[in-house]
Amino acid sequence: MSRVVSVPSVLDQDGFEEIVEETNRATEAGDGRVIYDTRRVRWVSPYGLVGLLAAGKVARERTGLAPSIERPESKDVRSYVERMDFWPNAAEVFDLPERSGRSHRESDALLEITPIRSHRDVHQVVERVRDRASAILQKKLGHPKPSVIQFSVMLSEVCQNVLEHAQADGWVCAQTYYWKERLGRDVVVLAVMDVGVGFQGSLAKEHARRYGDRWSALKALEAAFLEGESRFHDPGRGQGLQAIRRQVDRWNGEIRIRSGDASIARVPEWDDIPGTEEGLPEFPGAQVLIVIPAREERDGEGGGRER
Amino acid sequence: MSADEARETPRAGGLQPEVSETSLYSYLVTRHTGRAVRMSIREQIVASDGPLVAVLDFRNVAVIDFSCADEVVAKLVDEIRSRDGLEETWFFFRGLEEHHLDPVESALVRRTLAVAGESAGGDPMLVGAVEGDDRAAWRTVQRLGRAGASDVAGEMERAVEEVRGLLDRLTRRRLVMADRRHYVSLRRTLSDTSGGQQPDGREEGGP
Repeated sequence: MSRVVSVPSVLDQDGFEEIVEETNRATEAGDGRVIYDTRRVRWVSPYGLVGLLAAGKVARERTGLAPSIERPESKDVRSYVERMDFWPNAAEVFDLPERSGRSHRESDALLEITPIRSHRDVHQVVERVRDRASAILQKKLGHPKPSVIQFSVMLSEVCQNVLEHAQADGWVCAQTYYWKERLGRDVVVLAVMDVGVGFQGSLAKEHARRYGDRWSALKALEAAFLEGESRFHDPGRGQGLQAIRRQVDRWNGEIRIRSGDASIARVPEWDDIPGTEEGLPEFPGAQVLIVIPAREERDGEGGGRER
Repeated sequence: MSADEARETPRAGGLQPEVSETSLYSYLVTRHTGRAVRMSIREQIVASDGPLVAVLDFRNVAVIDFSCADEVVAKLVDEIRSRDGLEETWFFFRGLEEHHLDPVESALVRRTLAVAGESAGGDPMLVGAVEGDDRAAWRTVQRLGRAGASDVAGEMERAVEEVRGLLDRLTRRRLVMADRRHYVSLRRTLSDTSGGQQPDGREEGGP
């Protein structure tokens, strides 16, 4: 028996939560093909796009059957989805009627959907975004030149997080937008997702005992995000996420990490998402959203340092 | 007292250490890459015979991330400093730019390590975990190039015994070299080894 997951018309963070809930419901019985119906999608974000891949992968793993997908009706959405190289990545998750090659259309994306399977992919991603990051961060968002390198470092660390801690494959993509209502400025939105063991699973062996009954997905996120804890007995580990948090802070940006049934965020004054959440629909792995706003005149560049 | 401090103070007197230079890759990203680079440099160092200054050149490094810095910089320094038989190996970082510093310094600080070096512009730098007094003493040795404890104490306007303690600690941490009664900056040693050239290629002294 097939079960349909109806993908909402706006496929962003909230839309992802809806498909997580529906995917959980559709895969409860553990059998039967899942169909993702994206026909009524009118707007999709990078987070929503990779979220759809992640949900499809989870459905595939739970049912043992490649889910189907109904393509969006909106011409704009179809065009965007194609430019973001969704279909070549979807071919490894969904049961697609025809083979989809990479889009040859000119893309305005900072980074199209790219799978993260090994350190080579991370190298490729970092080198691939170099020129585009320079054009977007410096010229469009008005950040100083070093921000291009800082963005590359952040991208590398967030992708490595997938390799080092998820013990599973993941995806990354990034796009620029003009956030008229929320911010009145251009932003870069970066989404990285995997459906691996998640923060709670990754840290459990080393840290769960310390928390006893209070051990949860949120405690694991707090340990990693706020305290720099890692699953390794090594003082050099765990600094990647700390570095990302510091950098997002310098840019007055936003970072939200969702894992298991919880999320944790660095919330700037221009947004009002919760700092932490629990009781979200359970979902494996980790889903990271980073928003870097255009620089305002009052934003400092950070001084040099004395040696 | 740390394991590092428990060892004999290395002495550079007449040592004329060998200099091994490694030009690092353009994209130093991922722990995997860092591990490979670290192992390659470690092999070179272990294969050397006698006192050695290992120079890591960052001038071509376009991007270094935190994970890679932990492997290439901090773990390498930590391994070499705690390995028996390599007590006379010093590290020197060359060509450091602002964008290298955050990852390199974070990695060193997390392992309570520090390394002497110089910026891309040729200015001396001390990167990593160093207390304020130690840093001040190190700067004085950089300025003097080669000096006794009393010279450094005079410059710092501090008691000689107190300053000698700071200098001995810097020596044990291999941030300066000891040459009998003198303390020598690594830049000075590199300059002497390369026949009077400063590490960045400039002549020492001058107007």
